[in-house]
Amino acid sequence: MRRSIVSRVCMTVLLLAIGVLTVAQLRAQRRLRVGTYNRDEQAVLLSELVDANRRLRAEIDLLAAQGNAYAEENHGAILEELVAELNRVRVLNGTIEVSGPGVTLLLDGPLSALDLLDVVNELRNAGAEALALNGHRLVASSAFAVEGRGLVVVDGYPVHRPYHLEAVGDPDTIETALLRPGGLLTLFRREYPNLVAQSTQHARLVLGVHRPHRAFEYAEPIE
Amino acid sequence: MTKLTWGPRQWAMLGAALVLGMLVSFQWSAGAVRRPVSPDRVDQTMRQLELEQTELKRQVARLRVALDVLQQEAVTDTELLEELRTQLAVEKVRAGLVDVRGPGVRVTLDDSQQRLTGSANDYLIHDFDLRDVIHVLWLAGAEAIAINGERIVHDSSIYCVGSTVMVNDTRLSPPYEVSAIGDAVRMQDHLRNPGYLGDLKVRCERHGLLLEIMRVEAMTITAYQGSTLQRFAQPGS
Repeated sequence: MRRSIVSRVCMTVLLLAIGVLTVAQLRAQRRLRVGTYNRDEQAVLLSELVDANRRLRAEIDLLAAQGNAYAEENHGAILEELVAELNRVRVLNGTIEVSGPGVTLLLDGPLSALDLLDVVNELRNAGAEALALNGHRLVASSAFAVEGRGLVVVDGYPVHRPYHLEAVGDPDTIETALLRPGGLLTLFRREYPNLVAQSTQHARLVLGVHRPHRAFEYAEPIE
Repeated sequence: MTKLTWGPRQWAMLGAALVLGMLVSFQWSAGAVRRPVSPDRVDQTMRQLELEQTELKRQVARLRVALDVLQQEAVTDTELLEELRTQLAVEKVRAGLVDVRGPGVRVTLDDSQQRLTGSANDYLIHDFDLRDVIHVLWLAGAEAIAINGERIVHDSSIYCVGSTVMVNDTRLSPPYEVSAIGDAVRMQDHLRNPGYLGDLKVRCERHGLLLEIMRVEAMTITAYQGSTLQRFAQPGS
């Protein structure tokens, strides 16, 4: 009697262990792909990381300098600091006009909403600091919808071709990214044979305020 | 004393023990293979840089919180200063520079567990999949979005190096958890709508990618920890 209970317990423990280890093994296989890169990918990753860390250090310097302005408790300095930071953050949010050098891109072709989304993403990857499409300022949450007969709508505003994009940032970097062989424009030209695509560098662009402005209803800051 | 008889039960135990032994040895070796075998200097440099990156991001987060406190406690005995301070607080929330809490959805995406037949790409979650999911969430009125803790802000870029997804210049590994605060029902409806994420949904069915959508009553999304310095854009005209 005792012997059969002992063997049942052993069997259960064994099967349990097998189950646990099988799952662990499958999980382990899923993550293996992260560690393997070829030489080119490694080079890209390294340069991205070096760049990112440099920008983080610059950010830390800025934040430290800002802290100092408040520490002095000087009204004038505090006022200056608050105004400067408010304007900086408003540029990020699109709640203030913005100006600077950059690139304009004219696209005349039957581009879809997703194509335009790809263009915007490409421009962001190329370092665009502020964007506009057909005069409408684009922000992080700007989304492209399609209504009716292929009409593209951005933030509730209809946009018609030709599509006119404005990107404030380093003109050379942005234009190079757009025009690179195998890049987005190459793909578009292949997809839309009669596409008109024209990029121009500018010393100064001015982009307007983002609309509509909707206050947050669900997200609340944690005190 | 009883004699040991070799019956079906004993064979079953032996089989189970053998399987167990195999699995234990696989686990053992898998631990070693997970890290690159060669002491490659490039890999070491990469790890070093990523450690630095993590530490720098933590510093940025700490300094932002400290600055917030300084701004709250600053002597603002004029209406103008008080008004500026209030406006700044609101804009910071909007810009993703502050931790926020609220109702929303959690979307989990993961690579396929299935065996490969055909292109390996079909079995992986790509940067464009994440971009598409995020885009649908913005369309549905999301107010704050993060992927594996990386807050999506005005110039967040999501791209691939090889098959690795980078968000805010940070390497992410699957599974990918996309958190979004907003109207949970609206976001869920958009995500489930067959008109959106068609390509991804087809690959989920055909190749076993994971796409799971869950409503969450209260979630926290942490602040953006990257850089906001703009070198070319200036406020005003």
